[in-house]
Amino acid sequence: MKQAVLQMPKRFLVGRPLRTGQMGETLLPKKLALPVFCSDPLSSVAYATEEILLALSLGGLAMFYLSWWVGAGVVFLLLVVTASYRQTCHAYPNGGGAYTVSRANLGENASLVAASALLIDYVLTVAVSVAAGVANIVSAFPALGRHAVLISLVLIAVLAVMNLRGVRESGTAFAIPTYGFVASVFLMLAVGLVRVLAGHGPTAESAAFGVHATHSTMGAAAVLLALRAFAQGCTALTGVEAVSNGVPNFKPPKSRNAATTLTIMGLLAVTMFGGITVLALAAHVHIADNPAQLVGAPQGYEQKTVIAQLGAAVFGHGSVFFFLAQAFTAAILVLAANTAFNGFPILASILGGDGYLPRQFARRGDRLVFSNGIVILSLLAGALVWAFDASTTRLIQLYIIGVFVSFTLSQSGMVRHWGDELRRLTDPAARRSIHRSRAINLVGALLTGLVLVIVLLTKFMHGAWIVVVTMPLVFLMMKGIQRHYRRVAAELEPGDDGVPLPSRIHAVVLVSKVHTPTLRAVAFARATRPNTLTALSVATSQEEADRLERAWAERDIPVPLTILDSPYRDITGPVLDYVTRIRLRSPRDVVCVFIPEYVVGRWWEHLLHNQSAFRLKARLLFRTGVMVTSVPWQLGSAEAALARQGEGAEFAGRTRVRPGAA
Amino acid sequence: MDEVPAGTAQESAQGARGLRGFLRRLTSSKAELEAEELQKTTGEEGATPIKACAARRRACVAGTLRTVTLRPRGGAPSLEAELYDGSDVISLVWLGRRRIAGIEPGRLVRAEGLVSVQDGRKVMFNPRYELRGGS
Repeated sequence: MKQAVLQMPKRFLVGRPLRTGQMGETLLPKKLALPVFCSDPLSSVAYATEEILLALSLGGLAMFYLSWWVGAGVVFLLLVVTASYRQTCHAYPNGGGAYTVSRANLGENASLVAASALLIDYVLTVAVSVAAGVANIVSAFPALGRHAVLISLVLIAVLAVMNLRGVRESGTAFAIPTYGFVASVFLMLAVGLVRVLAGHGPTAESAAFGVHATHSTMGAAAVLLALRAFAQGCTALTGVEAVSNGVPNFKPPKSRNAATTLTIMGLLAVTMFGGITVLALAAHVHIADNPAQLVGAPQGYEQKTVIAQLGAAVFGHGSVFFFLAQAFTAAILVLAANTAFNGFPILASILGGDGYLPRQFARRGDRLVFSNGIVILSLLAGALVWAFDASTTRLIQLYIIGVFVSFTLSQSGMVRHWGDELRRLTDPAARRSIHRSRAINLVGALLTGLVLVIVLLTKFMHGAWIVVVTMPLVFLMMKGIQRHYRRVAAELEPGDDGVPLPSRIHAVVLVSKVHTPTLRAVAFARATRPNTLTALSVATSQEEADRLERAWAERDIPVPLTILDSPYRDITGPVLDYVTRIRLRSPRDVVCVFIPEYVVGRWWEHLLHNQSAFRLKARLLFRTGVMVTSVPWQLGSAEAALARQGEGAEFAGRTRVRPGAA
Repeated sequence: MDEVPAGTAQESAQGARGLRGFLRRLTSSKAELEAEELQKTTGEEGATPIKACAARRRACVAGTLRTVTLRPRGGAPSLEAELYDGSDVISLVWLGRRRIAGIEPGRLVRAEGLVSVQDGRKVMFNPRYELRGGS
């Protein structure tokens, strides 16, 4: 019963365990794949514009005219990356994450760099998305502002539980917020566009505020600021690789469907991002890195997210549509974190399988998902959100470096891949198409590499150094784990002639008193037919030794009893010495030590029993050529405990032939 | 009877005095301490360190009984004990006896007899023994 009660919360949260056979392929049609894999890139639209404006606000209002160029740059990059990843979808129908691609084409180290970048990035994706989602909730209900961290942590926990239940149910659950978000953004853009064309465009609540410049905007400084804004805007690209990872989950024709989904995603993201940026400029949304920079803002003004300001300006503050748009935005941002929940456990399982992470990551849990990965991911993300006070702006500084590292590596890997294909193929038509693919990937690789440099330069001092430090650490950790696994595997590799039989077995039964557990251990040891058999006792006091000796003789036990002297009254030392002496005398023989042990049912009974047995066992296990055999004796309390657990009662009842039977 | 003088043991016992000896006593393990004390008694008894005992020679050894093994009834009765004097171990075997009062673990014993070597282990059969001091 007790076990069932303990299991109940888990069963309630996670659901019934599934049999391995139930793993059935849950193949996704395009319309479901889009929300499952693309919620991350689509959702980053919700904050990418804002991040650009925030970065530019450092230079004052005058710099906002640059947002056109920055926005255009991000759109161009998004198109190039989408096009490049379409190639990956075609080339790796079994899922071509950055790790797989770089492992196949660039070698172990590159793949581990990509993997460490991705692992860090998945954690950040969860943290950033959830924090951004909460920021939107807070924009709608400013009263919740104080509890942002708590709300984020709860949301991460909810996501973790959903994912522990398995993706099968979550597919449809993602569709509604994703399509709702897309629809609400498009509705907002359409209404806003109509109003602009009609001559009375929407005006944001912050339009009247000025922005106080904190940075110089002369010459190079302006360029630097623009680059920084661009780097911030690149958050719109995160999550693009999710589709290429998930190609095997698509309905056939897998590659084509995945590529099409990617295209749809790219077009949606570009349109929404472009639209929001244009609308934000048209509505004169003014936001600043630091609220103190805002000139003319009322006292105690809380900055709202760009999308909230736009929604309020277009639909009217407090209208149904405004809240609906906010709700969808918050929902998709939180769900975007799910992209990471899809990616991280799978990547961790591949790494675990390859021996770069603990092997437990490759095991599936009750619901056939990689539970360990999910749990670790949510813990790390939760810690990050907590450490950064759920501040999107601060978290985002750490964010996209990993993305671009993996982009660059995966694209370079693809260039290699096409090069190899070219060497193999002779058909001119095929070669032409490969040449084109390679050109696309080359452009992608160069561009993402360039962006990586820009991102590094502009963000390094703003917190990105944390990632730059962490990535090599993760890399080294994975290398270390792998080295350890390799060393152990080499150590465990059997030699050519296998393991020889031990020439003889010397059995030693530990005896403290003559009672049933001891007698049973002696009986069992005799039944195993060792070459020599001795009962061993340590004389801590002469009286005790005498008593044992007498009892031994009275019972007429046909096993020699050796009593060890213990001048310093410890039990472990003399036994270890004795065993060592047997080993020294006959190094090719094996010593088998039988230890009678009580099995107790209550925790405090552990304190009263077995202390010396445990210590001895722990020490003996370190000796080579010494086998330790526990001869358990179930005390009454242990049997009661077994009965409390329910399942054991019948077993105990049916196997009990006669109390103390050996 | 040619006994080997226990000079080495005496020297090491004397070496234990003074500052260096003090430091060594602080840092040495229990086993080392025990060995040292036993070697000292060997010297006092005027016995041969077991390490120096040669096969097929009569020797007089002194030390504590580390283990005593009681044979079960049936089969040839014998009592076996291991004598340790800090330098080495020798097995004392009394044939035809199952139990000798006073031969118990921890007892200080002085034994005299012919040393033989079996499987690289020193054994003394039916030694003349003297129980010394308490355990």
